[in-house]
Amino acid sequence: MRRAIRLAFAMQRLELRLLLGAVLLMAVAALGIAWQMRVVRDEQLACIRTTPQPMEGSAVSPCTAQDDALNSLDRISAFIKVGIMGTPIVLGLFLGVPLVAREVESRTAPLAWTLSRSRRRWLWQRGLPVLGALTLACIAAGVAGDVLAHAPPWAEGTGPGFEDWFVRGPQVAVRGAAVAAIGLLTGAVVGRQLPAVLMGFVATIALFASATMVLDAWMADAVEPVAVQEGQIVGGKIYGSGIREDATGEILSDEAAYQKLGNALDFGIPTGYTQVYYLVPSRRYGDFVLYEGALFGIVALAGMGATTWIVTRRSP
Amino acid sequence: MTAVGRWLNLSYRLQRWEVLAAVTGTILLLGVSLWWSRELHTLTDAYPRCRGLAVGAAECEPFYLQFQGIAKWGQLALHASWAAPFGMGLVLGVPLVSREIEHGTAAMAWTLSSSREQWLGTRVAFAVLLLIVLLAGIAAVSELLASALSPAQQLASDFTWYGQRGPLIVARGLAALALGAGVGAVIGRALPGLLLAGFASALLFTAISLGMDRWNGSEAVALPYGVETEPGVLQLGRQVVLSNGDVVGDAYLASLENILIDGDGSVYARFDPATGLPDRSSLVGRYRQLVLPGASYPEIIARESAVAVGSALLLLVGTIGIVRRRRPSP
Repeated sequence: MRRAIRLAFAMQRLELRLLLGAVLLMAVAALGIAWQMRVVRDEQLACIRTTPQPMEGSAVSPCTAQDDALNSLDRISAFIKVGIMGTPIVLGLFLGVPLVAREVESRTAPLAWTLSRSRRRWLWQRGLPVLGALTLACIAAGVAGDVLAHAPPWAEGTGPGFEDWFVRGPQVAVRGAAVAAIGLLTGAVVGRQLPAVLMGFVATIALFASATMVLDAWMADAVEPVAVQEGQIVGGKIYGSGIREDATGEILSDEAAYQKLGNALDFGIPTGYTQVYYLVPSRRYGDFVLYEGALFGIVALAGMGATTWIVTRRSP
Repeated sequence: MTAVGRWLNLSYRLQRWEVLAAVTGTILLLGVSLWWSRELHTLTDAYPRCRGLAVGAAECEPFYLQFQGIAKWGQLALHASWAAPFGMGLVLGVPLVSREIEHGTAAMAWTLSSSREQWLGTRVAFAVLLLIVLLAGIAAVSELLASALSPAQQLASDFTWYGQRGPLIVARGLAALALGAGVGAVIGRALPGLLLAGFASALLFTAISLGMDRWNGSEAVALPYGVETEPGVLQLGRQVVLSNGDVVGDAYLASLENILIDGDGSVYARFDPATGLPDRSSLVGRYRQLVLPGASYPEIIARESAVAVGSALLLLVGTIGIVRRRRPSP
C-alpha cells in the first residue's frame, strides 16, 4: 500500500509540488494578512479613542495612517481570495485529469492495467492518495479563507454572514473533490490531457453556475422578513425590502410605501413605521454550506463512479 | 495538395483539439458580443434623446433600466475578450514543443526536418496565424460592443474598457503564445507546462502593466485634487506637492503618522483641539491627481502593443535557443 501511495505521488510529482507549494504560500499569506488586519484595527481603535473627533460633516479622517493601511490590506486580500476561489478548480483539474489520461495518452495504460490485479484497484490506488492530498490542500485554503473573511473591521459583531461564500470553509474541499471527479471523468473519456483539461474546465464552469443558481433559488425560498430598527445592524443575504406599518403589522413594498408616504421617506423611516428586510439570516449559513456540500458531494461520487465504470470498460 | 495546404493540414491535425477549442470559443464569444451589441444599439436608437444616459430625466428612466440590464451581460463578454488572448495564447503555445517531447516523437520530428529552427518555425507560424485571425475578430467585435456600451463616448480617444478591446488583445495573445511555447520547451510536458506558463504569464503581464504605468506616469498631467475629470481619462494615481514646492509620491504620506486630509486635498499634520478641525498652520502639502487625457489613448495602446509584441519576439528567440540545445526526451 505504501509503495502504491509513493508511486501515485511520484507520477504527479511536478504538479503536486507546484500546486501544493502555491496553496501553502497562499494560505500563509492569507493568515499573515488577517493577522496584520487585526493589528492595524487595534491601532486604529486606539487612535480613534485618543484623537479628538473632527467636526460633524468634515471630510477629515482622524486616523488616516490606519485607514490607508487597512485599505491596502483589503486590496491584497482581494487577490488572495481570488486565488482561494480558484484553488479547487485548478487543483481538481490539474491533479484529476492526468490520473487516467496520461496513461492512455502515453500508451502505458495496457501495461499498467495488466500489471494490476484489476483496473478498479489500479484506479483507486492511483487516485485516492492524490485525492487525499487535494482535499487537505483545499481544507487548508478554506480555513485560511475563513480566517481572512473574519478579519476586516466590517465583519466585527455580525460576522461575514454569506460574504466571501466561495473562499471559506469546508466547501472549498468539497468543490475540489467534485472538480477532481470531473477531471478524472473527462480524462478517462477523452484520453488526452490538454483537451481533457479544457473540457473539464467548461464542465466545471457549468457545474458552478448551475450550483449557484440552485442554491440561490433555495436561499430565495428561505428568506424571512426581519424588522430592523434605526442603527441596528443585521447580518444576512438580503433579497428585498419593505416598510412595516406598526399599527396594523402590514408590510408595504418599497413602491407602495413611496406612494403612501411620499417625500417623508427622504428623511428616514417615519414614526409608526419600521424598515423590513427580506433576508436569509447569517445563522442559516451552516445549513446552506451543508446543502452545497451535498450537491458537490453527489457530483464527486457520481463522477468517480462513472470514471470507475469507464476505466473498467474502455480500450486502453 | 500544395505545400501550403499540406502545412496547414498537418499543423491542424497536430493540434486539432486546441484549434477546435479556440475556434469554438471564439465563435461563441463573437456571437454573444454581436448579439448584445445589436440589442444595445437597437435600444439606444429607440431613445435617441437619452444617448448621454441622463439618469435624472424621467423620460429616460425606462431606457436607463433596460440599458443597465443588457449592459451587465455585455460587460461579461468584454471581460471574456480581455481573458481570451491569455487563455488562447497559452493553450495553443504550450503544446507546440512539449507534446512532441512528452510523446517521444521530438527526436524523429527534429531529425526529419532540415533544422530544429525550421521545424519550430513551421509549427509556430501556424499557431501565430490562427491566433492573429481569431483574436483580430475578437478585437474588432469588442470595439463594436464597447462603443454600444458607451454610446455617448468617442472610444477612439478614450481609455474606457482599456485592454478589453482593440489591437492590444492581439498583441497580448502573441506574447502569451510565445511564453507558452518557451515554458513548454523547457518543461517538456504539456500539462505541468500549462500550469507553469499560467503562473509565468501572470508575472509577465503584471510586470508589463507596472512598467507601462511608470512609463505613462512620466507623461501624466497633474490636476488639483477633487477636480472632476472628463470621461475617458486614465487615472494613474496621486502625488503630493509639499509646502516647500517638492513633489513626492503617495508613499511618502504613508510614512507619516496620522496625517489629516481635507476634502480639497490639503494635507495637515495635526488637529486644532479648539475647533475640532485641522490646524491650518500644520499644512504639509496638497494632493494632486495624475491622469492621462483620452487623446493619448491611440499612442498608449500602440506603445503597450509594441512592448507585448517585442516581448513575444524575445521569448520566441529564447524558445529557439532552448529547442536548439535541449534533449528531445522529457
